[in-house]
Amino acid sequence: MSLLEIRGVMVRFGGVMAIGGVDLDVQAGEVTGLIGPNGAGKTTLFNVISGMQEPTAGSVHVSGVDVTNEAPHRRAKRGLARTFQRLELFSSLTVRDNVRVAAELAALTNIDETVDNLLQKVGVSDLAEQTAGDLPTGSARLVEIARALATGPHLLLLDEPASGLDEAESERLGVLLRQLTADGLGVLLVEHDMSLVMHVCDQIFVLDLGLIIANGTPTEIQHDPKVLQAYLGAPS
Amino acid sequence: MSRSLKFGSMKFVRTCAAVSLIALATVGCSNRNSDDTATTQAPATAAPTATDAPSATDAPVTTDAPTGPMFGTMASPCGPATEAGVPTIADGQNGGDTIKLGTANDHGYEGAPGTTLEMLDAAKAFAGWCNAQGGVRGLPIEIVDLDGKLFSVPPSMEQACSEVFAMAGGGWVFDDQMYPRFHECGMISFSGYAVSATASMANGKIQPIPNPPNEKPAQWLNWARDTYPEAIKKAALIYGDFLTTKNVADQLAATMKVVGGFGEPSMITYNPAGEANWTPFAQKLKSAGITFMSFVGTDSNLVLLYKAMREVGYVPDVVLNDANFYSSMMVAEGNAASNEGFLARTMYAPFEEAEDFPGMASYLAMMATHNREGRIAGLGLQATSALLMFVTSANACLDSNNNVLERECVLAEGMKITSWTGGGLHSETNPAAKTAPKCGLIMGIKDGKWARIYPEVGSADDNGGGWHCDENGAVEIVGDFGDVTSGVDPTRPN
Amino acid sequence: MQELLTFTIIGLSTGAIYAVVASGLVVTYTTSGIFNLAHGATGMLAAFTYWQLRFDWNLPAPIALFITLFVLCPIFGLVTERFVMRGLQGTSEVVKLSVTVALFAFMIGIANWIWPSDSSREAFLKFYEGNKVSIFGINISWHKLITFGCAILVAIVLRLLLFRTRMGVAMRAVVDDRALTELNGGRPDRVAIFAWALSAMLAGLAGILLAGEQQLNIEPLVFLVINAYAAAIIGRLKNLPMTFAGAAVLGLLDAYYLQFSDKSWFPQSIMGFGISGMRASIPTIVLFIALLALPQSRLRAGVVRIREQNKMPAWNTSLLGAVSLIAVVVAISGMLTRSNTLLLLNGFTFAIVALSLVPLTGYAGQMSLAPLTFAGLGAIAMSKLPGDGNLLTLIAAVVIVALVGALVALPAIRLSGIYLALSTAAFAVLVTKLIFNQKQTFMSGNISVPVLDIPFLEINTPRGRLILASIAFSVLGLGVVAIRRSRLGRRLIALKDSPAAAATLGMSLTRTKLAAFAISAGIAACAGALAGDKVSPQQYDFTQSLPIVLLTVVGGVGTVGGALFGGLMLGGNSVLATVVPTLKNVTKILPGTIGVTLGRNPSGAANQIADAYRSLTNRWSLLAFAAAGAIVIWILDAQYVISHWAFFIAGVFWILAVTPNLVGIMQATRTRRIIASIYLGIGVIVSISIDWDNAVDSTGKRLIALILLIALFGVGAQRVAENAPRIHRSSPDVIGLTKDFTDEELDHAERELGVVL
Repeated sequence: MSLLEIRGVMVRFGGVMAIGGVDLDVQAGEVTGLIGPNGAGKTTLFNVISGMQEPTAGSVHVSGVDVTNEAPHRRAKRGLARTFQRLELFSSLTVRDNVRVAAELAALTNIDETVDNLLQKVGVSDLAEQTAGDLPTGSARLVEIARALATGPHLLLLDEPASGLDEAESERLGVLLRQLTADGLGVLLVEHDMSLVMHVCDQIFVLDLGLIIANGTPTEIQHDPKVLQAYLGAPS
Repeated sequence: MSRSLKFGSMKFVRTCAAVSLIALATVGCSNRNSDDTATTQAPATAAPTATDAPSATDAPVTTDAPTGPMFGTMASPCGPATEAGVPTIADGQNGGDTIKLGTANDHGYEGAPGTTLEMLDAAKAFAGWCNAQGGVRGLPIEIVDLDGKLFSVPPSMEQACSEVFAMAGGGWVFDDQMYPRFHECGMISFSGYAVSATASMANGKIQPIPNPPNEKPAQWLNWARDTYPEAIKKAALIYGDFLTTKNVADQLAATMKVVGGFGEPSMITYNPAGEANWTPFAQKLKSAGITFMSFVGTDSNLVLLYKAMREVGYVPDVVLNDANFYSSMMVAEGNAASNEGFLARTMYAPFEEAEDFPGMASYLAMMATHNREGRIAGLGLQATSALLMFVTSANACLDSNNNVLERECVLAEGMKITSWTGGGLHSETNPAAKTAPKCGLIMGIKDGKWARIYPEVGSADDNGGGWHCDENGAVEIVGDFGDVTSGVDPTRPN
Repeated sequence: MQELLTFTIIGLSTGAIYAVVASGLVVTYTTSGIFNLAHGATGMLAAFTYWQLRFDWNLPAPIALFITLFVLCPIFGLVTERFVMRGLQGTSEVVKLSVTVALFAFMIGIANWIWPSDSSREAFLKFYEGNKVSIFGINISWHKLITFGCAILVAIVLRLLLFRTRMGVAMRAVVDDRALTELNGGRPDRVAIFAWALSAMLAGLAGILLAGEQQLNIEPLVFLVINAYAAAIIGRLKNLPMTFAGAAVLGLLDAYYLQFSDKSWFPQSIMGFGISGMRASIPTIVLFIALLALPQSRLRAGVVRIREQNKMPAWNTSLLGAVSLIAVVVAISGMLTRSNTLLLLNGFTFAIVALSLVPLTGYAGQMSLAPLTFAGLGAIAMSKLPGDGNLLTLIAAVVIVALVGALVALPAIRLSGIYLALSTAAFAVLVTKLIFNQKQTFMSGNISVPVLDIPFLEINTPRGRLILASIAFSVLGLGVVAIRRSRLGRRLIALKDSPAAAATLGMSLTRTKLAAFAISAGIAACAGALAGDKVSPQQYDFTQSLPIVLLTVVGGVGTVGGALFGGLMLGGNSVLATVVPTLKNVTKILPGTIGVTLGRNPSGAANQIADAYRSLTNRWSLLAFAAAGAIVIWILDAQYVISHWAFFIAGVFWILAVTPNLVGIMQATRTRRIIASIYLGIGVIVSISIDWDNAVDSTGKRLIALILLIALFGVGAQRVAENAPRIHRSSPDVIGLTKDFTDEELDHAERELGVVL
């Protein structure tokens, strides 16, 4: 049983078909990449999975449970967590408090310990008392990941976590992701940073104009003519 | 990012300019408070009571100044010091070298500026007139403006307690809020008018025209019943949807019931904050075939209703209203034509008949001489009447109290007055007994002007010096129209 | 049947009026993204201006109309956009709404100032004297026909403008994404100006049409427009045909109600409560229903990008603040006159109401326009519950009102931003009209709220009540601080900062919002329950809530200090008007003017001062200087060199004007430093050397002078010292910086780079 199962999801906005029938699986312990040109519908898909967007058709199952009609906060209780393409930190709170909120929502024991550990794991311990709104983008993204992790999720949706990170930070992020999956998490990763994607993902789905045009291992995807065409817009 | 000095100094200059403007504006910018000869605009939220007086018409202004010792038909109570010397004021009663009289009013209310300004204006004119004769036996009067602004009655009451010897000539719309502070500081009041039941029945005060909540003037309704016995069978009361107005409307309905002959009135409310369209009301009156209507609210709204009625083409046979509608707005240019036939009661001398009523003549002369810009209106008459009562009572107190003015003493003298007309300003009343006046007079709009409808001067019905007085002129009504006990302080002698 | 037809046509004529007004509102919203609560006030000013031109200065009608509608209105719109609205980019909905409230207050104040009384305004009624036309046997005045015509004309013109012209498309684009429009070659500033000019013209048209049939008075003109909000909401603030339909519905309901209200089958009371206020409440009820029928606002990311920042309050400071507040009040209350005591008490009551907004609006970002309504409910509960004022009654009253708050919030919970604000407003109006207006609630106009009865404590004097109020504020303030530092506080802030993130992390937004509303209602209830005096329904009228909300946001709705500032400012404003009658007119526009400057510092004035002090904590030399100055002033007083009043004024000037400026001055360029220091120096010298006790005869005037001193010299010095917009600290562009660039450094950098102009 897949950790995340998406079947036949369609999203229509007025006359525009943003997502035209997508099937996708994410397994526990794996990093699954979701790539595609801008406007392909990746964030929309995330919104559907996390409950912020109602699909016109199709279903979403998390750990075998049908969550298609559940509100976002309920899905979170099922072990789903996400980050956002444009940072959605609680900018008035400190970094520590950002993560605390999540931990408290998950009703964890040993909140302080958990928070400290997470901050350390992600690499932002020294920023713990800073106001989140003052952070540079790279650190902010890491904090968002720490916060998402604080709910103890099984499935982590990351929306362009590497944007704004330099090479070194990006590499560290990759290491972190592999660590997480080693602990049993399933990660669905939307990214434009191709080197990160190719290094870290176990399998990749390619989305273009609302449809999955390819899926497979990184090597397969790199050589797929349809993918090249989608990105470059010309026959390869 | 350009940070050229030029940009900086523009901002600098602008700031200086703005700040200086504020400074300038605060200095000497008070010429805006010009009084005008406007009519009464009772606040949209206030209830006119039986003692709310009419506003003025463009009354003829007599040019001869009041000669010394008369006000209307009474000898002026003001004058120079007697052999006893200039009076003094008892300790701790805000005395000094003037008698400070606080005139309560609500003219500062922003939603309806100028509310009851006529009382303050009359008080100022009265002070001028009285002081020209020497004041109260040589002690001049100083008027203090107690502006309640409708919702700031408690601070104004505080101001009164700390600044004035007595309150005279005024009244607040929400006058129940002055208790118990009023009693706590031992204040006395010769009120121009009272609105709430609490204030009407309170002690520590006296007013020239009492308005107890359970006894209402009915002479005007008697007249309607006798003159239009058929028309009054289909009646309607239109009133502003506000607690105080509702109260008045309920009292009116109860009075109509006691007087008898009236059909059960349809009670229709309107939004005192403003109606988008008065046509539905006019249509309603037409559809229901209403032939008698009375309006409880402000004249500015009634004017709009009249326009709507003309538009719809239907006006009830009898539109008869309480005293506050005897106002100049009803006959103002542009309104008079549509308001033809309108009737209102008054217990004052009509503004139009100053030659026949010396009291009215004196009032107009007093205003012309001592407060030219002051507003002329019915409540101004009540204010003047109250102030005359005060000075009269003050004189009596000085006689019995070794030339010392003392609050309870002055009030006690006032409480002895059982017959009062304010020098002919209004029909006879019994202030001490707190009974409603039994006399009245009906005015109507004819050919665009106010004219006397009843009683005809000199006729058999004219048995009160221009008014008609009747045993049944006031009736008792049953009902709970407000708290009549919380204004009464039993520890006070008066 | 004929009667039904008659009332239908009448209803439609009312609807035409609402339609003109509502379409103006919709246009404003679609072209600026701001729901302009001051729309009606604009119309009111236009009507007054038209009256002034036409009837007072006797210009011919067409010219007066032209000047008002096509010259003055657009100019007004331009000024509004340029100086007020433009600065609101990037602020929260709360601030935007508050600024429109400020404009509203400002315009009413100006109208009262320029046209103080109402006598000759009757002349307006001559507008269309007598002319009428007969349709289906019903007489309709020309005026109404013209209104109909205008409504239809407006609809057509707007449709063409917004969808067929470049400007129209540009106007709609600017709202969607201003930056993107700019990048694509649009000129958002110009477009915005045009949009506001258009709105002002529509408002003006509506105002003039309305005034032609109504009294030329502030209240009716403004509040009729508020009724029209219902029609605008029915049109979802974007759909003009639906708006017109909504306006028609409002008019028809109004007419039919009157037609049927005296029929035998029509209920005259509901459960013993009279329904006389029902007809006037119809637009509000329709508004409420329309709001509830709106589709749930989708949870979206990227919605909140606000500039306001509030630091977490520390326990030590808060406790210290609470205790000092009580101590100060106890100390000075002994010296105040009785009437000043009562006025200060008033200020504290407002401050508690303002405090109720802190957890709801400040922390959770939910806009409420009805805090006073809950205060009123608290007063009623305290007065009607058994127990005659003991502590348990107080607690019961607070709990009950808190529950009511939650209940009321329940249907509105799915709404956000302006829709939520409007639903709180609708709630407030309905409670005022249908509950406060009942004889059962407010017998004969007012009720007595028993003074809190704590055994052994004599609270019944004004001084006692003032101290009690300050204690209540301090205790409640500490409670609010405790909330902020607690788990609930974090959730409230999460709700404001990113509802999307909060929800996806597992937070039930509904429950959190309910908690916020309940707490807010409870605190406001305290303000009412502790009134200890006679209260009347007008005190809790919805319109009285607006200045409180406004001044709290100005003071800083995210902090307890801001609430105190705002509440006392409101109390103080009334003091000013009473104590210094010549300033009466200025106080009319003061809250408005202050509010309008929110764009500069959206977190509020208290925050600004606090920030300035905070920046001092690392600069020992400046701190020492500030302290030294204060000590010198104190010594001068102790040695009788200066009078007590000079000490007070110089002291406050030093604290509020000089000290906060120190850091700014040190960072400025040399010339500016000198000028600013001179400015401040003059201010200090003036405050010390004037003989305040004798030259100025009243406390009120002294306070005014103090405020003027601070404004002139303090703010002036600040403007001089700071000549360029500071780089905002939270911008990611300052990665790696630990302190701001000083102006000298920036100067230097620019010279090095060769970009000096």
